[in-house]
Amino acid sequence: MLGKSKILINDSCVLFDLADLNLLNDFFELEYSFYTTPQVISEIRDEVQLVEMGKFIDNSSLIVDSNGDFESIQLIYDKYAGLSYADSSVLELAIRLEGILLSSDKALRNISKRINLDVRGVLWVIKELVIKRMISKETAEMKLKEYPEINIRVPLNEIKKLINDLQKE
Amino acid sequence: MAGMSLQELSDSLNNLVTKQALSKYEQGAMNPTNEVLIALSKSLNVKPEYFLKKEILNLSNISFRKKTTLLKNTEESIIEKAKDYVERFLELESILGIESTFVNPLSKLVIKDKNDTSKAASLLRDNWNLGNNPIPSLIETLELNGVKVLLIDEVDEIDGFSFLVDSSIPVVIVNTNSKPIERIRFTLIHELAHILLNFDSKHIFENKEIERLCHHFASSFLIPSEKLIAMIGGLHRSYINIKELISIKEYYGISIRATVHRLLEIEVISQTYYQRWMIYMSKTYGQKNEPGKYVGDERLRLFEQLMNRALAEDFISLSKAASLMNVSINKIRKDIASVR
Repeated sequence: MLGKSKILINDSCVLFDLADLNLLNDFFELEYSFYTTPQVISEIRDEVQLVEMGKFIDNSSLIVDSNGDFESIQLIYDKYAGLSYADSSVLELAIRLEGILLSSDKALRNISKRINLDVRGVLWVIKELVIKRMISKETAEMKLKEYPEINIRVPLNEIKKLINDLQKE
Repeated sequence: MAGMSLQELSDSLNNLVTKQALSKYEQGAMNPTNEVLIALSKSLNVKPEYFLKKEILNLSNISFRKKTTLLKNTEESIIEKAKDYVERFLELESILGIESTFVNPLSKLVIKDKNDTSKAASLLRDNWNLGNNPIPSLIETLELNGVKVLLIDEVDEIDGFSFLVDSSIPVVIVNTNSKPIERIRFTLIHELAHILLNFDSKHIFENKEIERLCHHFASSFLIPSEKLIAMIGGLHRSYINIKELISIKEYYGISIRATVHRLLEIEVISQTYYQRWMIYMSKTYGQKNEPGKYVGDERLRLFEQLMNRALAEDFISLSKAASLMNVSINKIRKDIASVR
């Protein structure tokens, strides 16, 4: 694991959110091993986003794990009607590598919690970046305020709470 | 799906998979690897989920309104796209716990001639509580009454087609391809007629006769006879001003040519006068064009409505929504809003 302690499994929504928040470079500097699946990468259709993600794949910051067994992924897909094939591949990977699932999608997060997977979101990433002193509190606050404009489905109360917590510290 | 042969598909995948392997996937004798699945979905421009379907739909009563020049593989590809849409629609309904049921209100009415199609049109309007007024959105009316509708943009050789899924769910597909809205509306009901009308089994109908009866049903459904007679002002007319027909078109969303034909059928005008009208229309406006503009709104709404509900309630992920709508996840991510 390149000496890094934990594995983060990324779904495409979280990668889009972090890219839109211009936090991808900082994110991949965190002391984790980052994994995703070819199914997630195939969901990225925008050329600019593909090139950006390609840089992290090329320098091995993001490992695309294609060892997921087709039948195992299909089992998950068949069991959870609300999930896509890419979501199912991410769940299979998180279970197989015993990693932390990083997702900003509520439906995927709900199912992950139900099967006792450790699941985190973009707010956790921003907090980690502050704790590891990779971005300032001011930058974090700015990004948190920007987040609902980028992703209209984010939980506003949780954002407000995190901003308050950062200001108190 | 894309109108390709297995060899052409294998070639498009740069020999990642052989034609023989593709054939085995198609028959369910072998599963593709994840890599192959992704490559296949990109090549056919469908989501990978297309290959993971659990149930195969049973189609019946397939009826095409097309030109004889329509290529067989184009026809098969269009049917496959329609099947895929219905499968995604039914999957979404299943996720939301909606049971797709349809009872044909016209099943007991045996159709022998035009009098029966008039009765059928009236019966359907009654059954769907539509009264005698213009129907502003036919698609919405059909969708809310359990008919699955799909608009496609395909080659000009096809107007539309219809079929039944599992002998019960009616599906109507209309080719919009630069066609005027009145034509789209007419084709919607013409295709609906093919699956709802119960043609007399004791009588052997020729295709042309069936087409004429479905036309008559569509015209009668779009504008009931009593309304047409009231608007045209009498049971017999010697001459008609084009402005009268434009007014009917703009109010009821039915083309001038269809209205003139209907006036002939209900004997308001004579055969000779009808022919004069057709010649006049062709000379003045060409084969397809005509004056007047019906301002209507014929859009598919139900699928998106159900999708928004499923997303708002977190029944499905954004990735699943993108897969069901066959669009990119980034588009869904930007488009879908729900108050949190």
